Amino acid sequence: MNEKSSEKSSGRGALAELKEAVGNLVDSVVGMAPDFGIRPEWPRHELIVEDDGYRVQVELPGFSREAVDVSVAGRNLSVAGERKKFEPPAGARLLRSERPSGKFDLSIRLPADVDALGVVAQMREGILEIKLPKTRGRGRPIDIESVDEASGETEVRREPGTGGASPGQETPKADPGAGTGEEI
Amino acid sequence: MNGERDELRDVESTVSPKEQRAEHFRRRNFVRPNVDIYSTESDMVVVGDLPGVHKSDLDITIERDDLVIEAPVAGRAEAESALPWGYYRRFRLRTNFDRDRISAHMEGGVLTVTLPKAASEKTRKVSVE
Repeated sequence: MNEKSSEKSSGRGALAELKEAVGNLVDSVVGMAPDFGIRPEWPRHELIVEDDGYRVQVELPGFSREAVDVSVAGRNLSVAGERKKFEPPAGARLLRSERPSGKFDLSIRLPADVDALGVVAQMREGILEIKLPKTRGRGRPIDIESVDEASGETEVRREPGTGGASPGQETPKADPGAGTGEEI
Repeated sequence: MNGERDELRDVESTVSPKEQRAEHFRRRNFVRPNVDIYSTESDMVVVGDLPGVHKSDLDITIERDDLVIEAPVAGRAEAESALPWGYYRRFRLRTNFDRDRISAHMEGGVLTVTLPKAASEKTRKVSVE
């Protein structure tokens, strides 16, 4: 997990370093405690696919932001936290105790095109919502060289890529949208 | 103590079967929220997990002898979400509660309903002469 995250974040600056540090912190906290009290079915969560990205919702009623750790390492989204067992006020008698408590550590496999640097999370009304944008416009278009055996000529076909040009449109030479592409 | 537990007993809807079908449709993919219940000298308090519920969507009513908690989660039905589309739970109130003073509070997806015990139900110390 750590290897992957440092691999991904190499040369990406302070944000990546911070993310890695958070990831390490989560690892150390999770590493300290064996799987004690972790229930796989709790908390309920869902990955939603949208046009421009993904959204993960996790039910965390009564959790403060500080009680939850979110990290992305490679294609793994980790959400970990702990809720203390409910304590009624002094002198009160607890008649029922159904709300789950204890530690949890969710691990959610992400689609390949998640832009890890653009991930944001917010907590609202007991729902943790993590927005994961797709890697639009970040990919560098790569030229594909095709060698025509019969004529012996070398033809360069430019892959439109994701850099603004509409996909599927094959433009043999000039592609104004692919400014970051390599010139041959 | 077991007796006091029964004072807030889970019950199903008491309406006719036909109405129940309509209710079931309205509450499609609703779940029963988990609750902790405690009792103090003056109140019975229900604490429930209702993550995602907006305060304005929360519907708490006293129907005859029942405390009914019903709340949809905005947007879930439209999105055909795999998470609960709402919450529903009904308790039969057996103790005499002061129904005019029942209050509710919602914060961070946690609902707290406070049911003040009626004066006659409060524990009273009897002095022995």
